[in-house]
Amino acid sequence: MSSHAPANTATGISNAKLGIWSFLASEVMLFGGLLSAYVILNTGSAHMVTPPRSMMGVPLATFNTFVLISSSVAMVLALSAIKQNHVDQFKKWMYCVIGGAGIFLVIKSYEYNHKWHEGITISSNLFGSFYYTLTGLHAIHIIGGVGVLLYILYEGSKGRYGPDNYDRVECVGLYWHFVDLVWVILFPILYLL
Amino acid sequence: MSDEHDKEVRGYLAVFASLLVLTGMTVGVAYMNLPGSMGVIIGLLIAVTKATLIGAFFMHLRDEGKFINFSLGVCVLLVMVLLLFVMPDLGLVEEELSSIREREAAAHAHYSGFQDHSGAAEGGH
Repeated sequence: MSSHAPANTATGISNAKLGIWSFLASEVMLFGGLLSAYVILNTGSAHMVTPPRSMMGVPLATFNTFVLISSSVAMVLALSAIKQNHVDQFKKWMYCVIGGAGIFLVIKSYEYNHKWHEGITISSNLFGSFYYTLTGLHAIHIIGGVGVLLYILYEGSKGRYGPDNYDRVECVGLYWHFVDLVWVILFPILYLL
Repeated sequence: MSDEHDKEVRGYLAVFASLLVLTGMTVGVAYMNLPGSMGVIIGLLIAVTKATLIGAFFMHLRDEGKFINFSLGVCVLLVMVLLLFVMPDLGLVEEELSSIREREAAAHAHYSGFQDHSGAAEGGH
């Protein structure tokens, strides 16, 4: 069955796609709840002491934003390549996606280490708790995503995806873009504002 | 088909360039130290624009049907409820905090005046 044709379901949407969108909707609520709690406490709590921008490592976080956006573009290009049955290009872009995730995680661990030595820990104050909860939850999503991306790369290399069968690549792509989207919101809220 | 593919790729690269420019703008606006909450509002508007670009083009939401867009719209609305419905309370908290601060400042002024006065009296003896 072509991935473009309407699925033979009550909604006309394939089960895989409906599943991933339902999952992403629950993720919106998960991150949305934490983010709104942070914004509200940042506005109305005397206990929320935000560290100065110089301690936050804005240049590294900006670079990480660039890395994650590039990784997201590589993902969409991988999907585009597999739709054209260009398996080699698909593999090349998937390596870029996974490489981007790896770079992001390495920079994040360096940042954590640096912040910990600066005295910003998960138990130091309200900001520290929110910073590590939000970025940690995001990093866990990246680590989980890398596992699935590796599986998709392996399957794609075996020639199991093509112009008529790319649902899984599309679903993983949706997840990966969502992870990028969350970072795009987290970055200014935690580092800049 | 290949022309269509090339057009699609060019579109993705244009969105990529826009996202990079908007990221630069977010950092720039933060370092401009704009008065009041102007910087926060502009920063958040840029972040929402970036999220919309990723959703519409990379996640292909503009090609999806009403069902998925509506479901996601409900989620975003609920997050807005979490955020905005607490704002009036925050206004009350802010009023309460400023009234406490005023009382504390008045008490501090009163006691420091008292200490000055008793200090002067002790000096007189």
